[in-house]
This record gives sequence, C-alpha cells and structure tokens, in this order.
Amino acid sequence: MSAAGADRVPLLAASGLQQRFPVTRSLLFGRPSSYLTAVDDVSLALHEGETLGVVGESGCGKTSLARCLVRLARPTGGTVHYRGQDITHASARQLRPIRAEIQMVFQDPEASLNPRQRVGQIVATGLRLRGVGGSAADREVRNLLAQVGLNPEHVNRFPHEFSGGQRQRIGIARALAVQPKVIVLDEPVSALDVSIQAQVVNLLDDLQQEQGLSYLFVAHDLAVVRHVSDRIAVMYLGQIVELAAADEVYGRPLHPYTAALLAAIPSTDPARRRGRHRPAVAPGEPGNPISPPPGCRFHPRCGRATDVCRTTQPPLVAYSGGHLAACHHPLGVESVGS
Amino acid sequence: MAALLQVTDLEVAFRTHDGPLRAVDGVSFAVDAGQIVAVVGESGSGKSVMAMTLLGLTRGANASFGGTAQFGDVELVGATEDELRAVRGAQIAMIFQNPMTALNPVQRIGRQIVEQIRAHEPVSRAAARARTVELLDRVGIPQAATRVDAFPHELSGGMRQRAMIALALSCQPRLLIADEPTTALDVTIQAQILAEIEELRRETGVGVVFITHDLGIVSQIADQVLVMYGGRVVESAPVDAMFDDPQHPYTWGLLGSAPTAERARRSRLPAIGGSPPSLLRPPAGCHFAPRCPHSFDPCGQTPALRDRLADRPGHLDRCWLEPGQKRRLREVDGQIGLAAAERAG
Repeated sequence: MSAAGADRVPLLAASGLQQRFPVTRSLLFGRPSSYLTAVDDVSLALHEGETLGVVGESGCGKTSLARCLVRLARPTGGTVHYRGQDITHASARQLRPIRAEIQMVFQDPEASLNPRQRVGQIVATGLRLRGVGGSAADREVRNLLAQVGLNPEHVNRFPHEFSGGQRQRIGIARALAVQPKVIVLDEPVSALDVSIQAQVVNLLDDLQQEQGLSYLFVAHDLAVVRHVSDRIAVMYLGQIVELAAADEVYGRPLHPYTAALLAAIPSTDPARRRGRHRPAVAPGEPGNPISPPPGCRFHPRCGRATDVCRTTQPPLVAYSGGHLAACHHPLGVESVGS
Repeated sequence: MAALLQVTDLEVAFRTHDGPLRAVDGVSFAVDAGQIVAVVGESGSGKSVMAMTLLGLTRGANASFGGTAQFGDVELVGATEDELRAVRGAQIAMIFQNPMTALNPVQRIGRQIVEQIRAHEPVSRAAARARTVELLDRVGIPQAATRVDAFPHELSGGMRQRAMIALALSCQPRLLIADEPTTALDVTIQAQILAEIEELRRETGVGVVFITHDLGIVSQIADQVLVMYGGRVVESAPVDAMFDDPQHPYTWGLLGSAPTAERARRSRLPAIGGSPPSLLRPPAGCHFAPRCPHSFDPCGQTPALRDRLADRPGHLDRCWLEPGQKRRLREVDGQIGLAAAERAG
C-alpha cells in the first residue's frame, strides 16, 4: 500500500475522463442523434510499482478507459497525465517517447499478434524503436522469450504454432521489449484455461518484482483481480462506483453493486460451499449506456435504493482509510458524512 | 432404480490428417433423475465431445465410437438417426455455450420454440404458442407475451440464454445437457441462470449433465463431479469429497490454480507446469504423468478408474499414488495444490 502515494506525482493519472461515441448519424453530414458514454467522469491514478485493478461487467467501459489511458483513443473530455505531463491531446510524434514507457497487452493474443510475422520479428519491432538492431537484437529477443518462459529456439515460429497461453506470453514479451514502466493489461488471462491462467499470473507477478513495473489490470474476473491488485476500482455503466485497497473492497465493500458482484462469484471456499446459500443476486441487467438511468445508475437493481437514488447522482466520497464509494446508502456506514 | 443415463466405456476417435485423435477415451458415469453431474476439465479434455456424442452430434465419416450410453431403453451410441430424433429435444435437451450461434438468427424465438414442441407433440399452433409464452415467463423473461416475437439479436446475452433454456425445456426433457451455459455471461447474470437451473432441477426432477471449466460453479450446483483430462475421467466423486479430499494430482492442480476471491494477494498460485497433452500422441500410461511432480515408475502404465479409499466406495480416481500419502503431497502453503515440479518441464 502506498502511504506516500498522495504527495508523489502519480505515474499515470486520469482526471474527469470522458469518452463518448456517436451512435446514430442521419445521412451524410447529419449530426449524431445520440451518444454512448462509455467512460463518464472517471478519475484515477496509478502509482509507481503498484497494480491497480479495474473490474466491471461487459459494457461498463473498462476497456474504453484502458484505451484512453494509453492514448490509443482520444478521450472526448477530461485529461490524462503521464508523470505530470498532459498527454490528453498529444500528437503521435509527441506520444512516441511515451509509448516506449506505456505498453499494452490485449485480451485476445490471436487477434493482437500479426499472423504473418515470426515471433522474433514481432518482439524485435519494439527493440528497433529502442535503437537495438543486428545481432544485439537477436540476443535480446532470445532473452525476452526466455524471460517470459518461452523456448528461445522458437524465434522463427509463427504465432499459430503456439498455444493460447504461449501466445499471451509473446504479447507480454513484445510489451517488455521497449522496457516500459507501465503495462496496461486488458483481460490478459480471460481467454486462458485455469492452469495456464495461473502460469501467466505468476509470470506477471515475477516481472513486476524484477523490473518494478506498474500494472493497470483490467478484467471481469474478480478472483483474478483480487489476486493481482494492490488497489481496485469497480466500474458500473461508465463510472467508478468504488475504489479502495484490494482487501478493503473484498472485505468491506461499501457499494451495493460491489457487494452483489462479490456475492455472485461462485466460490470453492468450504465455508461458503457448506451453506450452499444462494446469495442475494442483483436482479435485472445493467442499463443502457446510451440512456443510463437517472440518479444513481445502479438504483434499478439495488435493494437499498430510495427516492434520492432515483434523482440524484451520488458523488464519489472518501470514507475511512481513503476508501472511495459513490453511494447514498453505503453498506455498513450509519450516516453519510456531508 | 436404474440410472437415468448410464454411460459405459464411451470412446470417440476422429481420423485426422495426422492420425487418429482419441478425444474421449473410455468414459463411464451415471446420472440419476434430479441429479446434477458436473464435468470439469480444460479445453481439449474431451468434455464437450463426450456430451455432444450423447446426442449423436459428433457423428461423421471420420468419427468412430465405442462403448454404450443407455438412456431408458435407448442405447444412444448405436441408435439410428430416427431413434435419436425422437429422443433429441424431447427427452434429452441441450443448452449450448453461445446462444447467439445456437439460436436461429432469422427466426423469432417464439417460432423456434413452437417448432420444437410441434415436432414432438400433436398440438395446435395456438396451444404451442401459449405454452411458449408460459415457458418464457417461467425462465424469467419479462413481458414474455411480447418478447415471444423478438429475434435473438434483440435480446441481451442473459435473455438469449434464458430463451435457450426455455427452448430446452419445451418438451419436458428428462435429461438436460448444459455445455458451459454461463461462460459467455457476466457474473451477476451467471448467478441468475445458475439459480434458474437449480430451481428447474428441484421442480421437474430433470437430470443435468453440466459441463464447465469453473470449479466455483461446480462447488455451487453439482451433486457429483467428473474431472476429465486428456479424454479420460481422472477422478469421480460426490462434490464435497472432491473439494475436501481430492485424490488425483490433476484435481489438486486445478484447485490450486484457480485464484479465489477469499485468498489474499501475493500468495503465489501453485500453477500446473507445462501444457495439456496432444490427443494425437498422448503420453503412454497416465496422461497427466508428464506434468505431475509426483509421478514415479508405475505411471508408465494407465491406472484404472476405481475406488482406492476403503471408506468411500463412490470416490473413484486414476492415480497410482498411495492414498495414505496424498494428504501430505497435495498440501501447498496450507492449501490444496500441486507442488512445483522438481524437474524442468
């Protein structure tokens, strides 16, 4: 836990970040008739050496957020800072040195590796940007492959000759090639079988210890996120509803949505299994991000909702221990401090 | 009482360019009415092929079969297409992983369900439609009377899966085969669907074969568990025995690899080294031996699937290790897991 985090300049920070996509355009030059707000007023900071988990269900905006943070997409509002430098509207040229420090690993290694390039070429691209070429690059590629647990002899193979877990390792090796400071991981293990998932999670852990990397770990699997994260942000319909240290989020969730998510994870824990109790499941489905419910976006599915929840959007408020939650009636808190 | 479904030594092999692929290699198990039997395993363990074979969905020029699957008085493996057609949909129904590809995208969901009812029962279109609305309502689709005319793409993922369950239930099957029915869904929706399947089992006494890779789901809804690896069942036990006293090292590895929300950060996951075997050229003897840190000489021979615990006749496994040693061997940091391999591998 980074106690000194408050006064240090965060590595990567978003403030009031918004990402809207136009939905329907009338013919030709017509104006968009509505917008889908994928990310709506999100602020968070990633500190050096930490892992910040971002969880939420499909369509909650977690991937859009990740893409804005690495500036694969240009946010429509708010700012993104890297080491205090505003990169919200930085040009491709200005972004170049920053790209070498922020890398991304994608969910589907099948789609994110060029099928016509050999593994050696895929990994060496990043090296070339760093100015490493020739036989030095060859050596470095082999080192990187060994580092992620692949056989260095396989540099001349194509991605399709590897299994899913191995392909994800290639994606990680490619990210490491530029010696980044931050890696944004978008569902890096969700396409993998459990035993392979565990290998990749362990690998990420080792790399972080060895190289002092910072991770932004985006996933829908709460068990995996708990395992890897120092702090966790829970997203619902484009907004952060809770943000706190991992143990706080799991041990003392304040937002009813977080509690519902946790209750919905099928558990192998003996204590929970014995009772075979069916936990209170959030009814219904997430609303539509084109026209989200007014007030608190979770209120149609929430058992604690009252009139105020239907009309007023709850702000993200700090509770004890810097635990942030956006709820009018947080769990286990008697009266909300104003 | 005879079991609802009795599978004995089921074998499925496909002739491929690279030689025969033994996808299912001698699988035996039984399902009783009202019982949920979970089949767990990773990709390529043969669990889906096994399930699809029960409905004759793997038949083809390059496929060969062995063993039997007795369902009432029908033997499914050797049944003719006509016999199978009478059983499929009516007595055995299947729920697939991806409802978007399993439902016909150009037909309204109501029409698809009506078609199935009328294929098996002599009822009028109107009566079948009324029953369809009832079914949709029953599986928790709001405004069933209007949604019955929706196309699959007009429904959310969770609602589509509910529609598929309604389709599966339309002829009151005695056996439901669910192949990863919640894998494509978000956790809160998954919890709703699991609750739905459990309720159905309770109300209608349908037997369920539930295929999944998620041990959390297994522990929540299964009565009996089969663990598959490399086309074989490596362990078969009642659910509590499986989680509290697992006998096969692969099961230990699976349990150890899965992070749980209860376990705090920085406890290293005891992963299983290596990757699953190729079914084209499986290892001789125990299929798990090459990845098993506890393997020893006898593992070159295939162990039989049988009960090795004196006090628990229903708990079967395929492992040569002495049952008395297992408790010690599977302990990793105070939890069940597979110790790191001593050999590189």
